Amino acid sequence: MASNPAPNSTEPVLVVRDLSVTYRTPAGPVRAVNGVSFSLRPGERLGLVGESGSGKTTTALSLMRLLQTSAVIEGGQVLLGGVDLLQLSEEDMREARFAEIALIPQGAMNSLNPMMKVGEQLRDTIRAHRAGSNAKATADTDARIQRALESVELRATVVNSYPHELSGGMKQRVCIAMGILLNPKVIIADEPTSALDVVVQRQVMETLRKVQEALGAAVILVGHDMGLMAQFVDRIGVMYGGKLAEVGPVRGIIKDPLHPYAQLLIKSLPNLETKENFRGIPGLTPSLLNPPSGCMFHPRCPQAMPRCATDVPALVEIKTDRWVSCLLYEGSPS
Amino acid sequence: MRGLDIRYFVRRIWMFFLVIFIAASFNFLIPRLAPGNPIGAITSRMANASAGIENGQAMFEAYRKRFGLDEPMYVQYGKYMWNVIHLDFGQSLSAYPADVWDIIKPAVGWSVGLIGVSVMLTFALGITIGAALAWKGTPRIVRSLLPLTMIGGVLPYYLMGILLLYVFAFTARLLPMSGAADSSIPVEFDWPYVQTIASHAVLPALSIILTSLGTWALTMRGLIVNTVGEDYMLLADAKGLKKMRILWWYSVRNAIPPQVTHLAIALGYVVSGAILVEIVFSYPGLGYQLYQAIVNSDYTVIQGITLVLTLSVGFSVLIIDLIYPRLDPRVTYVAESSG
Ligand SMILES: Nc1ncnc2c1ncn2[C@@H]1O[C@H](COP(=O)(O)OP(=O)(O)O)[C@@H](O)[C@H]1O
Ligand code: SF4
Ligand SMILES: [Mg+2]
Repeated sequence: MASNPAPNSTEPVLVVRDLSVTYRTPAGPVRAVNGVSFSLRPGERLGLVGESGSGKTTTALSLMRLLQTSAVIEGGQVLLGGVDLLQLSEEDMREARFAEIALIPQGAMNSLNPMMKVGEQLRDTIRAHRAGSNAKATADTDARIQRALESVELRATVVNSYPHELSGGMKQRVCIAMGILLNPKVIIADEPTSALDVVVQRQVMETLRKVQEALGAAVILVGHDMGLMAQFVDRIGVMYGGKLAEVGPVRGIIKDPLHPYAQLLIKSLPNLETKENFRGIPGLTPSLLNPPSGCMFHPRCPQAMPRCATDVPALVEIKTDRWVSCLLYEGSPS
Repeated sequence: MRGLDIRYFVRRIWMFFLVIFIAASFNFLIPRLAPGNPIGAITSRMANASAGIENGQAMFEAYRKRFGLDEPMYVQYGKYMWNVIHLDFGQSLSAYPADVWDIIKPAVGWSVGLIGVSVMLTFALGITIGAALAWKGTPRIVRSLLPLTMIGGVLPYYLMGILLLYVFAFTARLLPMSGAADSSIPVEFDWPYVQTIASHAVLPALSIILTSLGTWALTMRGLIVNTVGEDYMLLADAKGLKKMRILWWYSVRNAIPPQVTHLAIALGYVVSGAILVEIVFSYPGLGYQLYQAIVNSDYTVIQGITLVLTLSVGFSVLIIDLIYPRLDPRVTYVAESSG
């Protein structure tokens, strides 16, 4: 079913509307995600970029309701195939995890249980989503595991290994295999290669792309490496201070970024032709405990106007599929 | 066996014997280093007591000879070691001519039974209670009752023993006051005998369990709480595993290896701690026999028991060292090539 794109493939598979998440901390509430909205078409690859602390991980984990107990989802909707995941019962949400929406975690090195063989950790994923266990089910489980391992280019014998016997790249491949075991519609990959070295990074990303295309699943790829991102995703969402600053097709954004923060981010990329050095973006990341008034970016924005300190820009579509949250564009025809 | 190199195995066993050898040597040496030679002291006390008796001096000499005290030190040492290997600890001074080993042997059985079972039960209960304390899904009522299990921790073993004795044996008369079995019941492997053994063991076992349970539960809770922030816990949740699966196979499973190390230490500690419990309940285990031997200045029995205690601690540490790689797959024991 999920493996071949449905005829109505223009219908988004995932719609996130006005998602807001706050962490309760001793110092006060931290608004980590602040009114984030985006949608994802079947098979589409969306990248979430932004500096550390901009809310990428919190956004990704809240889609699966995996946040720590100190986090509160204050509002919004996460519609997966029309069903709001935020309204599901605990048990229904558990069932949806990995079956409908899977996670390839950030910490590849430590994401597998060190006490359990890889095969057992793949098997319990399937078992958690299926009642009963007869001989036929067991055979089917084993076949699924073999197929998944094959598609991530791992030998079938890794099922007998403990995680510490595998390299970082192999562990991350195991995690990818795990993610596709139950044919989910959406796969969230949170910096899936950040712990790996550059060569392995590319190989793992290639594998991820291959299995994702074969499966027809949509992917949300979280990362801060714009270079890697540009090669992998179709669309990019740039996050700043818990909000989406800009969303659009990857080519459009790289060639012609509209939001001042996106412009600085693109400019700061090391340019191979001119051998320019990497330039950071001047200024400090905003405090989410005490967020700036008006536009989150105004204390650092080179194009800030007086009203930027008071008015809050909304994310609006100013050209086809180009969404920007900046007062410079407000009022311009869409 | 995976993770267990044969050379490591041999070396670990060899280490065990080395430790026992050193312990036995100290065991030989310490009484002889004490001023005035304790074995001489007791024989001379006997001699004094029999001063009025004819041939008192001859008897004293006979005793010295009997216990080999007239021989040079190295000969005594050689004989002692040879005998230890054969579990021959000589004869009791106070219950002469009973063999020390014949006094120790039944005591070993009673102690291993009582302490072994109590410690294992505490271990299992402590892990379960600790897990329940740490787990988010535990019902609030259960959770609020669990800290009660920690109250016993404020008492030392023997005070808990006295308390239980007073309440259940002395006042309520539900359970026997002392001993390990009713002497009127024939020693056979049948229901009445098992029953008398069990009823005699309940209170001593409870005093060990109730006083140490809290520590086990608290340590376990701490270890489980530590797993909460681990990356594999997030993935376990993300996979949609059921809560019980996550608790036992991810949290508890990762918290157990350090607890087993703790178990090895606890076994050794409980052996000495339970001495007082055995005294309170006149339970004829090693602790009780040791106490009797000290009261009677029975040095050969004291020596025998100390050595058996060393042996038991060394042995439990050895066993745990050998099974540890099975418990934590990341630990592999390989003999260093330089060693
Ligand atoms: N457990 C937490 N408790 C309090 N604040 C948190 C917690 N996790 C994240 N935050 C805060 O939320 C914001 C977003 O964090 P995160 O989503 O991890 O960002 P990113 O993945 O983009 O680096 C940061 O300011 C961070 O300090
Ligand atoms: S709204 Fe103002 S401050 Fe914010 S990005 Fe646009 S121009 Fe800069
Ligand atoms: Mg992150």
